[in-house]
Amino acid sequence: MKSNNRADFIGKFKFWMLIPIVIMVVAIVFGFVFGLNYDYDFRNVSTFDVKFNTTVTQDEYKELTTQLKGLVKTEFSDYRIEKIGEGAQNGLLVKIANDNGDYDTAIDELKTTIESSLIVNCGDKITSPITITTTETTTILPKNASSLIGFSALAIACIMLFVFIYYAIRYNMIASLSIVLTTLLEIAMLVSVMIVARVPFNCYFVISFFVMTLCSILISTYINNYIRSNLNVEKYSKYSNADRVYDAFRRTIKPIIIFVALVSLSLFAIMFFGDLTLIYTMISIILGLIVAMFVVYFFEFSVWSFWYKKDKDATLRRKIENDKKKANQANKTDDKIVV
Amino acid sequence: MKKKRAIRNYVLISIFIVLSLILTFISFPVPGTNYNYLGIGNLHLGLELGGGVKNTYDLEVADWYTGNKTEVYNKTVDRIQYLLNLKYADAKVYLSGEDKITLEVPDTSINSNLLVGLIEMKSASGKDAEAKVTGQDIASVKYMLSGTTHGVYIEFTEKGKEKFAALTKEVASSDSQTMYIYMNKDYDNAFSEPKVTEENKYGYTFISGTGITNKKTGEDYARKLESALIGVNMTTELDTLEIKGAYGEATKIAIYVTTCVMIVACIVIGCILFRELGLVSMLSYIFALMISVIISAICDMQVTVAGWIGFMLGFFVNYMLHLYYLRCIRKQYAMGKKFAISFSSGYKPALFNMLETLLIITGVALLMLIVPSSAIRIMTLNFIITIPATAFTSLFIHKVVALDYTAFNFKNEKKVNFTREDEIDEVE
Repeated sequence: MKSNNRADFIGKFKFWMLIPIVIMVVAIVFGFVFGLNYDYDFRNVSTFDVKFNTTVTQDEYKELTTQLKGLVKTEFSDYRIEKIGEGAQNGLLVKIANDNGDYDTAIDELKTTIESSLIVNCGDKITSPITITTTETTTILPKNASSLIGFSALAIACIMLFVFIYYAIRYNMIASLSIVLTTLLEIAMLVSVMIVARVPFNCYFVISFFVMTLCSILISTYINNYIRSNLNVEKYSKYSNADRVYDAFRRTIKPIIIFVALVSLSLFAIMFFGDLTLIYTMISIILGLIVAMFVVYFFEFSVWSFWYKKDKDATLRRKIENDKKKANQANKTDDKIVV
Repeated sequence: MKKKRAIRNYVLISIFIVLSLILTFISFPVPGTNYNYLGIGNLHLGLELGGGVKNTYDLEVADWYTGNKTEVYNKTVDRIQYLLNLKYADAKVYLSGEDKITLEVPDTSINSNLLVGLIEMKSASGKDAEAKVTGQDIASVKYMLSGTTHGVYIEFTEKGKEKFAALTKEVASSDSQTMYIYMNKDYDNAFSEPKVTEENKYGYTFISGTGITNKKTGEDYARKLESALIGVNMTTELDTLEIKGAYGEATKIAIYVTTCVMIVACIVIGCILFRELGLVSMLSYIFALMISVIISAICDMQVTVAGWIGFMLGFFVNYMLHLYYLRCIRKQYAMGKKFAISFSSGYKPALFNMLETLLIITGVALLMLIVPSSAIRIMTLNFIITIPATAFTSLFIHKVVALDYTAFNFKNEKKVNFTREDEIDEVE
């Protein structure tokens, strides 16, 4: 599809489509070689409490947390520490990824080290009469995600059906097929990106898929409305379909970038204040937003444009035919006058 | 006259915003009701942000259950998660070791109605009396309103029908005519002690009274009995342990600060793009934000990170729609409309598109509720809460404030960053 537009991304459709294809191929290779990367929700996790058996001050809490992190870090790379309890129950919860029970002995040794060394490592910074004890190690079993995935697939299917019908009525079959293909490509691409970027899957990963789907439908509706509202405007009648799409791209990219940037910045701003789960969740949502923008602009636009080319744009064709009819009638009238 | 009306409108909107801001930060009991209005500073926090309590329970499979243990444990987790989702925004349940399950809830205690237990119907009280009807004999349980009586409808299986008939016959002929229903193997306190006056051969029964005073208590009772059909019992001898929010105080502050920073960023971007008109337009935008916050407070939505994401999405969609209307006005002007006329003529093309956007995203959001995930649910509900305010302001209030602006500036396009397209002459 030829165009004089400088941003000729439809002409370079094959080049742009290399990006998702390459990512998907790499993701398949990564999946086979390294396996999928799961967060704590889908892994065996050993946990135990480190109890202080007394009330501690905020500064002491911080110092104890720092020293405990230091002790756990020497033995394990994948761990989480959370605060628990009040008063005599004051303490910290240690979670360690322990997939096949490989670290059972190391965890027992760590507990002994914590009981003997934690207070010593804190030095003079602790004044409260703390006695460090650890509780029995328990194992958190992986969550069963089958129903979550099943219902998510059902919800996505329902959303696609809803949007398909709506777009078919409101716009045309091409637009409705485009949005369905876009949604499917987005899902495949986000899964691939998460696998390649080694972002772990946790219970919140479905949020990123739904935020992505919602945003892409929103962006797509916005752009489709723009294109449709300009279909019958006189100055656009001489444009090729690609030019019309480029015009929509040029006119809509700024507000869409503002929208995506504001959402991403908000998520980015808080991701560093929580634990790793929050960081992974926010990263996956931001990736979802980027994927949504990429797929809508570089895939949906192109599909839309190609199909319109084949279809010869029913609206435009009708308009040209009407113009011809009018011209013919006008000619005939003129003839009569001459006669 | 037009100027006076414009000033009046701006003042009214500003007063509403100030009052809403006050309502955002204060809490008070609503006079004449038991309802406490909570400002945003006192809203209930979810588990991740505010912490709560947790406890670990031992799991025991019923004697009558013949299936796979892993399967029934997974069913138990799903059932409890369902019950937790009805009450909390982000409560957790997970299997913790062999035959153990842990619950974490953003509350001060764990309600026993949230637990799964075994049901036993007996003709005599106490542990030693034989359980004549158990969970395996019940086909379904649901809350029912019979006339004005709230109660629970229980339907039995074929075998259960016979067992229940034999049980009711025995109870009806006894002196006390009392049937004992035990839950969770707590034989010291019967869950319910309904009176039975005659044999029941119908294969279903309706239990009323015994604490079922309204729809809520009836539904709670039905859910508790429904949980007993799984075939797992939960017991614990441990004390509940208080847990802190995994994300902590810093995340909570970051959420509030980020929201405020983003509002300011939106206002600044609006002013850069449309100068004075952008500033005026942001009045309507903040108005929508305040309505959404008040609706959240009235609904007593628990504050969670997922909920905040939903709220922010709604908040940015609203912003997009505000900018969209302004762009439509600018386009009308660019295509040759007179400055003041472009404000009203820009509304017509914008209106349908804005309505359509709201319709489609509401439909998509409602379909997302199919997913049985508390995170998705709370995110979607927070998003949906912003939609009425978005619709009201972007379709109505925004038009009013934009049109009112023409009372102060009816020709200076530079003040609003408007330009004509090349070779366009002004048209009527």
